[in-house]
Amino acid sequence: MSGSDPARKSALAAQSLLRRLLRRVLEVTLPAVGLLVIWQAIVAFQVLPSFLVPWPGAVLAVMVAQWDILLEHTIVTSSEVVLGFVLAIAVGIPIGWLIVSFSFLERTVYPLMVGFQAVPKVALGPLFVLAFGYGVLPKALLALLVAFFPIAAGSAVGFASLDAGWFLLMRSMRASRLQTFRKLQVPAGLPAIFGGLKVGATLAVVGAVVGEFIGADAGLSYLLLIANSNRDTATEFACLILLSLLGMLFYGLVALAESIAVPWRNPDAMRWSAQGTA
Amino acid sequence: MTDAASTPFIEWRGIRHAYRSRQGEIAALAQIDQRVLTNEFVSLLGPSGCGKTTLLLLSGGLMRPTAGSVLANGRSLNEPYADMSIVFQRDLLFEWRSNLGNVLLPAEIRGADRRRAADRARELFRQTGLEGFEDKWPRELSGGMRQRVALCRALLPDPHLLLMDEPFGALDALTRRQMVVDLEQLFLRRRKTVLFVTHDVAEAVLLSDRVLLFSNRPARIVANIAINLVRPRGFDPDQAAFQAYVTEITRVFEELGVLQQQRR
Repeated sequence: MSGSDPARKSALAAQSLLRRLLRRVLEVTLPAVGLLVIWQAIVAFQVLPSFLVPWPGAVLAVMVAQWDILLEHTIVTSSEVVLGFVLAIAVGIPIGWLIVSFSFLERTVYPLMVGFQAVPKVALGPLFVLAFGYGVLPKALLALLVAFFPIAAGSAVGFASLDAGWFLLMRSMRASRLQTFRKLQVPAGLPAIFGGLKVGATLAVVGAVVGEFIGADAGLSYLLLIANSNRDTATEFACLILLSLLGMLFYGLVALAESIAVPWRNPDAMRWSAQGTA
Repeated sequence: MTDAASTPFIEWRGIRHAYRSRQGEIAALAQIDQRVLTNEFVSLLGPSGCGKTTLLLLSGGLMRPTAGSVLANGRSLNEPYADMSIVFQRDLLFEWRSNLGNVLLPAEIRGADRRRAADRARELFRQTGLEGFEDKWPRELSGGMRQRVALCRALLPDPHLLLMDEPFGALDALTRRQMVVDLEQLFLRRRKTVLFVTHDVAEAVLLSDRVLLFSNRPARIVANIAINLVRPRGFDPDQAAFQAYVTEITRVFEELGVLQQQRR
């Protein structure tokens, strides 16, 4: 083999990665641009009355002019989501593990969890406002409640999807319980856990929004309600856009974490790590 | 024969074993009294589901018998035997580890020196024809190669006792023949005490110093046949002698009425 061969190979690989990245960007932006065109047309041809749907340009103008206020409220909502989501992870994953590890918990606690899942948690919002006031905490708790179940269920599936042969193998190597947990159960469970986390991340945003609707003095949905009562649809749409960007951002962060933590599931990461160590 | 070769390494003393199930107790092993010598390759041959695997797990200290006792190296087993590895029918590789990472698992669990373990692992990859696949993922390998990785993982700590539970049972016939030859090579290069569960007569004869024949459940040892074929036997043992052993074993199973399990 000649010395330039690996260098050429990695240059080719970088080129193909760039091409894939470009295609990905186009795949995401082109439909968004298309949507903008349709939106513009809807307003221009008065398909929907203009007091309901503002011009895209007007929304953009609000986002530029009011960026500081919007940013302030985005940060409030974000912190509610992050706090709720982190709490949901801290509670959900251990509970998922406990349910799988102790069969009496599966028989006693799991039905309770499913039953609780059936309660519309939005309805608990007013109670939380009573208990914790108008700050970040009640919204975070609502986000926690909404995001908790998919995370716990995903973790339970992840930890349970192991068959007895693997445990026997670990025992034959005289692995401790902790080693078995760290080297077998956690990595084996990660794909299913991340499945739950992705659902949980977007639900946490919903939880925070609902929390702000019930009673808040800050946050994107609080701003949205105020704009609505002022018939300021441009600001309202700006809030909507920011909320959906927020949801995408959290989903994307979880997906990024997944591609780092679960590289054996991701064909791209696999190719790159294989090259790195070859 | 040396002294080591005539001392018993595994002793089964009056072993009975029963599983509890909803239908009551299921007797797996009836009455097993037998010794396996140090550095001996012994196959446990019998119909599927007869209790051979149970005996294998008992021999490694991974289970305890309902009655009787297992001695390994002269001592009664109360926990998994330290100087032991096991290879199962399924490779049980961790998909999230590279092939090298899988082979290094026992060293990590023992807290062994990683660099030395990695050197030994690479040597095992070379010996089993897996060179160049160290940094690939298990899913990139064929079934036979995956099972080789599992074999390397078992051999990494250089255990004295190697337990194999139908290790080639899931492989195609050609791969299987190659694995049999490779296993004999590994065994000749570095002698171990091997217990090899199989229901393949030819495989048992090709690999073993001794073949123990088991009845249907609850399993008893119905015959104890020393295989005196010159090693290495490879693909091409003394055909007449080889065939005589196969015929002898076949006749025992015919008399027991368990022959329908044999496919070759």
